[in-house]
Amino acid sequence: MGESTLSRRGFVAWSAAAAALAGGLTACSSELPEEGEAGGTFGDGAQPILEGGKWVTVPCTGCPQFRCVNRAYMVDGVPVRQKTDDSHEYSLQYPQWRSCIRGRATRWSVYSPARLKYPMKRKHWQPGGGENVHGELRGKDEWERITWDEAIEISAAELKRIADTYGTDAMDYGNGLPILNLCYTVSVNPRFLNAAGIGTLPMWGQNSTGGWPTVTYKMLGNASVAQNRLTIAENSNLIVLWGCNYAWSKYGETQVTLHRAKERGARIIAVDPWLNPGNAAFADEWVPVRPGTDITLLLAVAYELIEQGLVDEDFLSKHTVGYDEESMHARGLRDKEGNPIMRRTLRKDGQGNPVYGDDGLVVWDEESVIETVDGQERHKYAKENFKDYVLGTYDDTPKTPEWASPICGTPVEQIRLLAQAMGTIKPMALLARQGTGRHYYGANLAQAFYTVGWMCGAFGKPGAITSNDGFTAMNSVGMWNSWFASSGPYFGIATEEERRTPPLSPEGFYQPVNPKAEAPYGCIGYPWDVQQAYDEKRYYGVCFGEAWDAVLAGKHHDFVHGMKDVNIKAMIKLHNGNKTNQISNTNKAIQAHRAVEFVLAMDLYMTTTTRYADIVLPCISEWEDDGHLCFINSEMFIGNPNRIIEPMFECKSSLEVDAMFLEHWGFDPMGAYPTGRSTKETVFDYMANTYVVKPDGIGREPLISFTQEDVDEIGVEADASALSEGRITYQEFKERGFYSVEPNEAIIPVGGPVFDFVADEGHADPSKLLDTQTGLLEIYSQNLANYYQVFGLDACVGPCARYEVGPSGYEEASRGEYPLQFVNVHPFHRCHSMRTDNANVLSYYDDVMFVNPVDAESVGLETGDTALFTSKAGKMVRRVAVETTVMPGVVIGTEGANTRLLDDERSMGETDWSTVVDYAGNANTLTETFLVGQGHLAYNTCIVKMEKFDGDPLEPNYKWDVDAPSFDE
Amino acid sequence: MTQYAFYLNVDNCIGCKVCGMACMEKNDLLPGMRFRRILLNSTGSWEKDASGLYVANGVFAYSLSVACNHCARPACVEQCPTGAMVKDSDTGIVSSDPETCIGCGTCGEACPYGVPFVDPERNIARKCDFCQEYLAVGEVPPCVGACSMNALEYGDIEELREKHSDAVSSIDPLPSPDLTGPSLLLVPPAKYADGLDITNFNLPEELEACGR
Repeated sequence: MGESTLSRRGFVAWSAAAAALAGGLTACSSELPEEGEAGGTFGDGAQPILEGGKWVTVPCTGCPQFRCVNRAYMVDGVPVRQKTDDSHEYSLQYPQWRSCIRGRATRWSVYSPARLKYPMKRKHWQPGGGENVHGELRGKDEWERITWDEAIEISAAELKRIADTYGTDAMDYGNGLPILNLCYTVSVNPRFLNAAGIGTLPMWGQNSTGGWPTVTYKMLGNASVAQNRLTIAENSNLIVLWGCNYAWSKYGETQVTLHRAKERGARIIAVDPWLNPGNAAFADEWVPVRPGTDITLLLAVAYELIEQGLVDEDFLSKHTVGYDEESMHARGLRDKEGNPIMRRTLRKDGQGNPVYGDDGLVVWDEESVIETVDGQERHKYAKENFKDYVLGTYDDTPKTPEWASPICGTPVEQIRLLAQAMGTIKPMALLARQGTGRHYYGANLAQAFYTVGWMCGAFGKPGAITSNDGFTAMNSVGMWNSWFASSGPYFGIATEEERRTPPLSPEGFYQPVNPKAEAPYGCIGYPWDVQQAYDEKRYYGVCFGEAWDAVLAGKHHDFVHGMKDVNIKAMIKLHNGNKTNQISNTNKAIQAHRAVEFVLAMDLYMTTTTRYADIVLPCISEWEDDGHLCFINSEMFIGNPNRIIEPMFECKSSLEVDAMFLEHWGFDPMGAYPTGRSTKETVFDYMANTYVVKPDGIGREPLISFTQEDVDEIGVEADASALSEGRITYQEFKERGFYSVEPNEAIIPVGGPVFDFVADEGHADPSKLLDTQTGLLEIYSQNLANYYQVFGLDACVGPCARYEVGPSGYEEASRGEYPLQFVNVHPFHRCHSMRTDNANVLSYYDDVMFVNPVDAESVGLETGDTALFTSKAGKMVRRVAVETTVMPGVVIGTEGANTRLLDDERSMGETDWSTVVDYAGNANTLTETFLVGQGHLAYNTCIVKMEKFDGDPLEPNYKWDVDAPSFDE
Repeated sequence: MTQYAFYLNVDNCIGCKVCGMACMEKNDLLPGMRFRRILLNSTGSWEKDASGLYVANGVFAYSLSVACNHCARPACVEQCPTGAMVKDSDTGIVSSDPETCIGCGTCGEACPYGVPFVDPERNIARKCDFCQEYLAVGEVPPCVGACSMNALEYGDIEELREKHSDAVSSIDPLPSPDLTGPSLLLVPPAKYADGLDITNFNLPEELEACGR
């Protein structure tokens, strides 16, 4: 393959010139910065202070979780320096939203020599199927530059041919679709395929949230338990961080919160297999626990809470169901409408297939949980309550610290002390990150976690919270956040009555939907409704974990319907994502890619998805798109209806390409745009309709006022007279590019539905009950066990927390061929698989494996050495860093590196999958496929063998060749 | 005279390295070059108890961000054969004049912190110059303005000392302050004590990049 030999520094100057020219700027190339200067100016006090340009706020793609301020100093359309928020004096009450290492290095990612520049086609691939596909050469082949017209024409024709040839079986809803959508956001479906009546086969499941979401919805309902960061920082006297790596995985308000809590003297305990650098600073104490075994630690804490008399019995008896036998009888018999609670089982025939009734629907066998004993209604399964399980009343296994310690690895005494702290220091914030649920029995962990938190009364009062931030709180450390434009406490989008512009999606606008689905945009909503409201007639798609097997074996699990045939002959990734790399078992993913007739992929860089494709399209970065806006940081609104820089080379946006396909087939290209308006118009519309809370906390007002000149300057049609009211003028807003609120007592939200629930002690008011089956917190949730069967996978969850031994966990590691547990954490130097292109960041962080000295010495490894890691799924090499902050028996690495196989680069022959080594260190080279629970990927941890690598030692990643095809200009 | 100095509350440093990236970005350093290093340190051991379980004994960790310490008695200045490396009499800032520097690397070898390094593309010594041009116009050095824990401060050493009376001038793995009199103030992590066996587990290139 033709690797680029262009130096990084040379690229910056060159691409900047290209960008400037493409934008039609007046500057001729001789006036552009000399080589080396476009990316910044030299140090040594030699350079002048910045001049001749201006600061603009740029979109940060550093992470999807929380957005901080990144600004770039632009000279003649070229960014020469970055900085972060310096808009006001820093305080913990009103912080500057300072960006992380990823955000700070954004311009190097935008101007990376690894950027894809032109549409390209794999040399030995020809459309039409059969031998001319040469699927076995995917990842090995050469690339040919093609034009956009060729790319659109070839791809459109080939997708049409595949749809016509392999058809779609209208009788078998969804399963017949031959084109698999690899986009991350599964609700984003290529509109041109929808318009043509073809559609795509979507995926479903949980890649982020593990076993948490369905458990959360059924145990505590839909209401957010979130509290403001300041409510937690100022009130929680104990903060237990369960599997949290906030310095790496959730920058921004988490630091600010924990910094303030620490300053105030709150006790902070970190429970994790690794004392990560953030917790080393935040936490007073580290409680080591083996990956995936923390349910045993929680059960032992529960045991100790009972033994030490520290259970908040008052809270449990008022607000929960199923803690003890009495609770089962008293509150677990009927739902909140008064109907008996039923135990439901999906009826299956002798072969394990579902049985359908006359109405064509599957049949559920139902049995009431109520029995009448001596004239009294009693719960038939009362003995399944949580307390008796913990005490071992019926299974003869009390879940003591002595029972748990050999499994979870936490010393007995430390378990007792943890329980003592959790049971006595109030209020407590018990906070988990989602990774804790990304293992086989992740749902059971979630059940135990909530239960133990509630046993301590950590719920529904200032500073008292038990939260998995991903779902119960929707944000970091259980705080408010505004993923959706309308959901934040300080900023929000206009209601229909408040709107200052005509509605989006104007009358007559039609966005083509998947012809095989009734849901908007063509497939199941992701991921929330499948977790709560499965509809057997409406839902279809392949579970994440099964995607590659579905391609290779031609069948998959179709929820309640059992195994169904599929016939996947093409894959398409037009929008975000890199699933080839980012779901379990990438070696199998590559085999699946090689098995189909056509793969179309679009990205900014070579990723595992583009590397194994046939046609690759170059994508713009967010800096090149027609504006950006962000509500994710609940205390700040960021927006800009303009590009930061002009699109580079021949790069286009995904929506633009979807529109090109639509046009190619004679459809209205606007059908590609979700709002029925262009990106610029949409961004402007959101800015014009953003409201901010008034300083006194009473009501809200439009954030930005616009004049006719402003609207003309932006280049949109709008009635400026309707936009004249606003907290600040557009020109003021533009100057800064963001607006952050200074929280004060009048506007900080305290309370909400879960506070109202707790305050209504007798639960006489039905409107204040929770959105659960009983209206209470369900430690024992029959509803959960009933519902979980719809996913059609290994259900592996009961109504109440139980410890179970899953595959490839500690229990197997401790006695098998793969003696170490590998945990892959989110990297700090990239967002998942993005920015493996950025040598500057990589030179500060590499994808190393952290290893305990005990394990390193046993195989003769020292810091900097290269080790070979082998799992049941594959092999990879990594350099190791030896340190005591990792538990013995555990190795900690990062996810997201894009697979690179020496086999691809050295051989055009058949791949021997038993020997192939990934030298880039993609965590999913090691993770296995499991079909479990709510379709969650159980890939946070797996078991591995570590040995000294006898091949060439790895060079630091930042020194590697740029991985991008180059073409003669 | 002023003596500019850096202050770091090590107890609050989360090892996020954004200070290093802000420095790299502002100074246009090539990948692998460092004016500011973030050292990851850990200590303690794991020993088996009676049941065979490995138990942590005194394990803790801390991150330590250090740049040039603009020392009172800078060894780099003393040993520079051309006089390119100088200490400013008004600010106490140590910097190298690229016009006079011959790229011999003596400064880096002389510095007990291994701070100056030779830029192979320009063949001159390079190091942190406290972003003097920022100070001159009243702007905050990018490393300080980047710290999301607000753990990094700068200013005149006497004023910083007054503000942070608990600060020290060295913790492991930094050398003794007696060698060169570093203008550096550090608040050690809560569990830190002299005489612990601290392991610096940075990868070779991290140290290599700093000329060690």
